[in-house]
Amino acid sequence: MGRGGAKRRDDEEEEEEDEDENPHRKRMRMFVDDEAEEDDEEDDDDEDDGDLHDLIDDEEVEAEAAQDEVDKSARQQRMRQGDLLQRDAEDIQEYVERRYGGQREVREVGSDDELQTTGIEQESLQPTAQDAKLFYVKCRIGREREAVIRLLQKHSNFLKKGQNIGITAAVAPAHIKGAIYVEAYKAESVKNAIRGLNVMIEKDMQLVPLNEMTEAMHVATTKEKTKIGDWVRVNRGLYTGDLGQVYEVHEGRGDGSVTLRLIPRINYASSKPFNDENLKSRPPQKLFEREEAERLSETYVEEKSDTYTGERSEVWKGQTFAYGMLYKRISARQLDTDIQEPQIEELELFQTAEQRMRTEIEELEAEAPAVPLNLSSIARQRKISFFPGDSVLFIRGDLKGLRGSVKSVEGEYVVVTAKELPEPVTCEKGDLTKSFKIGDTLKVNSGRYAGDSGTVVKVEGEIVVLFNDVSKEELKVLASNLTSDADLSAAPAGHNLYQLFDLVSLNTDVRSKGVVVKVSRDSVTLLDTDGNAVVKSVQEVRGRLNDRGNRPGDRSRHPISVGDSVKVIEGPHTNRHGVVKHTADNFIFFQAPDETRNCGLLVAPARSCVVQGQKRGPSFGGFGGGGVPQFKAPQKSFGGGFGGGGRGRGRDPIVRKEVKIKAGSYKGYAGRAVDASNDKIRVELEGICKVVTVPREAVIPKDASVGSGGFSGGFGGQGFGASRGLSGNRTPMHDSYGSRTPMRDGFGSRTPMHDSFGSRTPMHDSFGSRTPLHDGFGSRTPLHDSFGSRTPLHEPRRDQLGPRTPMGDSGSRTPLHNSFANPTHEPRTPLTDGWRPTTPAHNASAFDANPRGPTTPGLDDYAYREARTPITPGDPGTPAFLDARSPATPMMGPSTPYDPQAESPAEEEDSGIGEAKAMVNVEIEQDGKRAYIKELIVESEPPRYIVHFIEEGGTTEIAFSDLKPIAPEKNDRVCLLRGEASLVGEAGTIIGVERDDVMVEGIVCFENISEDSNVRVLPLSDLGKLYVEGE
Amino acid sequence: MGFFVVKLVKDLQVHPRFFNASLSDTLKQRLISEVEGQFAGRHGFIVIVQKIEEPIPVGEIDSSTGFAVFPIKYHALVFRPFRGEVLDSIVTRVLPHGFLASAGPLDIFVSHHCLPSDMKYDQQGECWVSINQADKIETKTAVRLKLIGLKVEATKMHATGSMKEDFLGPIASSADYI
Repeated sequence: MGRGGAKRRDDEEEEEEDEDENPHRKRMRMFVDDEAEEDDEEDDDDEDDGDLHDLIDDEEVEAEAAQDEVDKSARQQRMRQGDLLQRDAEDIQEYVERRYGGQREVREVGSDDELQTTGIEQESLQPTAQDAKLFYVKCRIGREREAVIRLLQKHSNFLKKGQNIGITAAVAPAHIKGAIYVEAYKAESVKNAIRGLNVMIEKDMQLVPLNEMTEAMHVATTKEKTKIGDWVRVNRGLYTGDLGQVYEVHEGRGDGSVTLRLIPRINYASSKPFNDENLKSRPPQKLFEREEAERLSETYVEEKSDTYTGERSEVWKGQTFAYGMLYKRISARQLDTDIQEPQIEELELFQTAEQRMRTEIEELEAEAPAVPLNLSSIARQRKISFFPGDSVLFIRGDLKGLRGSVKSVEGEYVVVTAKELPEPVTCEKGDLTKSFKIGDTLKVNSGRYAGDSGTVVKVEGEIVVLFNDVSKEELKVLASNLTSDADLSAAPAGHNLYQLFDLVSLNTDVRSKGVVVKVSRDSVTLLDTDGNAVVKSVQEVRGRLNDRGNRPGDRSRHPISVGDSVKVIEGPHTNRHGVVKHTADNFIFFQAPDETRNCGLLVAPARSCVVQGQKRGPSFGGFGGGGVPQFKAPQKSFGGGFGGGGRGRGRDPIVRKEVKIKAGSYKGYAGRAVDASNDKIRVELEGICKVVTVPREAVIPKDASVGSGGFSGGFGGQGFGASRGLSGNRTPMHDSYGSRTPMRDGFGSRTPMHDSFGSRTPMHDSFGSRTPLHDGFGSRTPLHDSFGSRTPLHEPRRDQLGPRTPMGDSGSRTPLHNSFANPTHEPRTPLTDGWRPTTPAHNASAFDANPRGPTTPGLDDYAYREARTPITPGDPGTPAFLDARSPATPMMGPSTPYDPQAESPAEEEDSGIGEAKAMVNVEIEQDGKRAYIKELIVESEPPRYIVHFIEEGGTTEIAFSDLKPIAPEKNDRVCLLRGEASLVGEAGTIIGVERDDVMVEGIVCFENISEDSNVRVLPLSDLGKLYVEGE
Repeated sequence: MGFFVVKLVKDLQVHPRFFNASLSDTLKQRLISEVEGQFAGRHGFIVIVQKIEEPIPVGEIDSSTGFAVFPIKYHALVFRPFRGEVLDSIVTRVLPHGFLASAGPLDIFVSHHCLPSDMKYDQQGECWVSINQADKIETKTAVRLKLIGLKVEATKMHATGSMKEDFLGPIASSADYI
């Protein structure tokens, strides 16, 4: 037992030290205490033991004296340098290792006579077959320590007798119940030692295999002693799970206890504010407020200052508080040193406390507390993963306080570069913490916001406030969870099926649609068509939708497609504008630059929006490739499409209507339509409680007569649409047409038509905007042909209108022109009002055409097409209808009879324009009258325009500025009205239309000009469309 | 504001029907209409095409489409903001956690953390007001900001601004400024 002596010597050293290094006294005492404690333990063991760090072996008595001499001088020298003060536990450990490690060598050399030439490297410390073996000896539960002490006693008694008990060590690890480890070279020695000691059970002795030896001891040693300043979690009692900092360590029985700094959970008003029992209703974490405590509990808070450190604290109901934190003494067993991931909220409270501490220190010039509440020290206890490029701060070691950036990460070591350093340094992860500056763009790599990114707007110690400019949200994140990622993407890189801004539908309600505005690991946040953000799990989402074909019409029925700029003109988002991200039925999702929630996404009904400008590119204007998918829309929801949006473009108008079944096995039944697809309708029958699926053709609404009502109202959307929805049965419609005969007569008066013409004023603009361009146009060519060659179309009509021949005859051409002009030029009339009056005409045509063949559906389509043509500008329906006529569609079949005519217009046309090269439909600026240019006097400069008024007749000469030529379209035959003198009056065909922001230009191929210069690009406004119906 | 003249190249695809005498005019027009007002990645926003380099290079026919590709070189005036730059902007939207301002095509977000600490959000007026009522930030106020963060993406640029430094804040003659 030489340790007593050693301790005394140590104390003497202390005193020597104290004389010259007084201020260090306190710390050194602490150090010495620790050592003394070790000594105590070793005293217990009596002999050499493999306990603690495997390195700390008790010294052999013989070796001690000499070794101690060496150590003493070395240590004194070190202490004089004063650097021991700066050392923390690790350094002390290192020191102890050095000190005792050497002795082990001495012992081994001495006892085994084996040369251990290698140094104290870790490998050489592993037990070998030559070393003493470890035995696991069962003993009575709870008396493990007693067993060890008895062994010690026995050993001591044997020594007195000059005998050796033969065991080298005995250990009772705290975590093992009912067993101890005994180290000896022979099993026999252990048996001998145990014999007669009734706390141990001899027969339950086991040899610990060599490779498990270190492990057996290791477990005991990993139980780290909590140190002052450590962050821990409480695992029992009222503060279960709470984060705390070790303020003081009290040695004592068992593992001792510690005083923790905690965020109090106090119900001030309660009579038992520190009740540990009721865990379920424990109060929330909150910093202690003196005033509140006094007010609510009607007791006083005493103020106390530590006699030793001078630290101020408050005592309330026997509990000590300082800076709002509770100082609570807790058994060390109730602590977890693994603090896991501290939550932002907990840290914030500690941060506030730290703030209070700081202000108090500054204001009262109080002494800094002995244990600083250094939040960044938390980082040391957490596993931070560093990534190349992260900016880091050294929190330990020589470089403490230096900022640098991570160059590479190699296991537990990080290579850091810094401006101040000539070359990169390699350091441990524990030396570093992440540090970021305001304005950095960062990505969150773990925690609640993993995957998000943003710009740093505030740094508060460990907590960084990020602003995500996609979701326009602020995120509070721990610095350790962040990484500076140069390769930031707008969408969070989650392993989610869906991505930001996907249009999806839900499993629960297939018809509901929403756009993903936030992606989490296994859920998405959707913005639905009602404008609500809802969180759905990935399982609830049905799938991504394609909305390319869906083009709801805006207020003026311009189709809205993805990428368009829109402005909202009514509803809650009035005056907001943005770029359309998605269209869903008749809703549009657009991203407003000034919106902060939901990634800036807003939803609005298409009809309350206005398209601003148009997207460039092939899908120009309202035409383009989208026509075909659009076709389905009118078929499904004709009313909506036709009536200009009606009630619900997305939902089939027939749904929820009372219907009758006209065919099939349920013929005659009445019911209510509950669902509809393209060709089938599900009907809930009235008579029998049953839902049946019937073909669409077999269903008519009960109020089918609405169709005709809708007509007089200018095809008032819904009503008409409803009847159209039942395409199978057209009888009511025909009735309604029939009844319209008077209107056809009324056609002659045509007043509304003038209106329609008069309202052509905005024509140029609207024409410009819908100029069907390029590629998209090609697909429609047949259509245009049929348009351009309107002659045949109308020809039969003229025939049909036999009774009205005078009108049609050239003599009184005016009215005829009117009626022809109508279809011809109406397409460009952008106004709703404009087209209505013309409807009768077209209907008439449809009706008249009826006798021509069994072509009712086709004719109907034709009629609609015609009828709808006037609203062409931007109307989504138009392309659809046009497509309805395209050869691919089944509707084509019935209408075939006229198509041959429609597509062989050549002769007629040629004869039409041959000489009447100035037969251009114009409009007179001031009074909006319709006229055509009868003659163009090219010879004069500028050219003169002789105009013939259509209605009132009469011819006059008018200046060009007063004319408004009806803008032609591609493939139209035109005549140049002004400009290049040699070409004025020449006829040609527009082979293409080019537009830019300023003007619309047509590429015109002139007919009577020589080959090499017959193609010109001319402003469309200078071109007049030729009258193909001319004389 | 950081305006720069940069030399850029744009590949224009031209349909064969424009292959005529006025091709160069067509190209110039197309270039201007396609490029002006666009965001050119790290170069910032193209404000205006100042000069198109003559002669316009010979186009190359793309064998798969029949279009001709003209690599047109031009000098453009670009607006390229930088981090740390101080610029004047107009508030477009005021929010409880900051405000959005725009400096031309650039949208800048200013977090409440980056506002002077004496400014408080006024729920009713939807504006930020300093405690002494001297400064008020509402929609259409002209403010001088410092860019603290700039994120360049493929199609746009996000900027984060600060007003928490000397000489930053509302500009007195906001009306004149606009």
